[in-house]
Amino acid sequence: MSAVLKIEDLTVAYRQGLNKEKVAIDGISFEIDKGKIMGLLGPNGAGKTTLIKTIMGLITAKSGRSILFGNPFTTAAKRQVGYMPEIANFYWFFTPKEILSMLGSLSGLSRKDITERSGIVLDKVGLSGEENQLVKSFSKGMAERLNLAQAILHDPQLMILDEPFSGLDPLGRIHMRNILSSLKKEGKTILLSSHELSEAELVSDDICVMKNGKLLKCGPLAKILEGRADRSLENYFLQMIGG
Amino acid sequence: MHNILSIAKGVLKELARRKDLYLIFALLLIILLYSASLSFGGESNFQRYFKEIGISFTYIFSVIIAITFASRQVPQEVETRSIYHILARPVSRLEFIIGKFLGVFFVSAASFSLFYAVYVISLVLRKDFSTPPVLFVQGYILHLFLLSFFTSLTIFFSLFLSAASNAVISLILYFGTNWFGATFPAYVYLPHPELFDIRDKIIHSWDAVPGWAISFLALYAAIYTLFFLLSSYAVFRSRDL
Repeated sequence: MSAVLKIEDLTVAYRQGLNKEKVAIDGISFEIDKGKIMGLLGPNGAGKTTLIKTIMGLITAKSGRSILFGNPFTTAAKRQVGYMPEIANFYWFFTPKEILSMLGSLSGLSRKDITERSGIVLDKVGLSGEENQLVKSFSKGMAERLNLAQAILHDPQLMILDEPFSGLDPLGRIHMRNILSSLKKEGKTILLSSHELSEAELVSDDICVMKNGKLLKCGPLAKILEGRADRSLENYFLQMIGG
Repeated sequence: MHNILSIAKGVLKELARRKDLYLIFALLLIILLYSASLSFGGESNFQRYFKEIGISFTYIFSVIIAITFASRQVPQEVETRSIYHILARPVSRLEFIIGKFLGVFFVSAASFSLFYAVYVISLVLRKDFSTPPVLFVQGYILHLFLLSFFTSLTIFFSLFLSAASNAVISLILYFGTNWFGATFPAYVYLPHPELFDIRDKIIHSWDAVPGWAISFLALYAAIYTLFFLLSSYAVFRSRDL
């Protein structure tokens, strides 16, 4: 199976003081195959968000590289990627329609496509009828749904979602899970980070466990749980991170 | 260019929805109306006084708009993380910086145009035709040049300073060089906003600025604007967000 995203020996380090460095991501390598959902698991501070931000070019890597569809992950390649940041912050004086219009335009969509895709994605995330409300009047759950809508607006092949279940109520989680399943059925590839093990277990085909910037284990979820008598991702996770 | 204009359009839309702009415009209108209602020191003295007050506030308020809006564009996007949605798309950081600059420049230029129109119309209503129209045109163009390079300068400062301290420092730079001239510390090394200020010519109806001087000032403003935008990009391009 062909890899949609391949991460090769990615290292991120922050300067601390004059001569010190703190390694946030330590030589991570993995790849995601087309049509798969990969769950990036780890406790708080493991480096999940840093890794995602580095892949998206928001943080500069010290070494290593990201390859998208066999080519370097450049600014232009972002057209094929949808990114949902952990915190849903928008221009609060805008309506969802205006936000999607601006972001769609930045993704290279035509005006006609923006109108068409905005309707589809707002419907998909359950925000139909709210497109002309100011975002500042939105609840956290609604903002999260808009956050997902902007990530899938340009119909990307790869979606990178940072903590998509965070801050959602049980209904919102079920809804999010259903959306992810439907995206998978459409053949999309998804990389998601989560510390919600139960949710990640329900949607992921593959998982990667991170701790202190290192990748402890990566592989198909079914294979990882196969040899375990309890078949529990939670116990496996605790065992891996030494909790 | 498409990305730059989309970002600039976003800035325009956001600033147009904030109340700051309308408050400043209302304040200027009140000052102009109040000044127009006064009468003292004979008609010719008063006309000069009204011309000075009007154009000074027109200049100052548009600079305040440019500086306060430019100072918070990038820090606000980074702080609220709304920048992630933009830079996760095929948008370079240079396009982001230029888009922000253009957005603020358009807003401050549009506000200035409105203020200036109100000012000129109020002079016409007072039947004051003492200043040659060419001076009004030159005053308008030169101030647009100034707004351009001050917007870029403030955006550059915003990569190091908080919005509040940036606004204060940029305003000190504007007023300091304008009011204190060569006595202002490090005057020689600073950009010179006072070169673009032909208030005295307008107030006292002096001769127009020669064409070569206008061309030189256009070049001066363009070089500074470019310098600050490219420096902003150099600082911002590898900044972790």
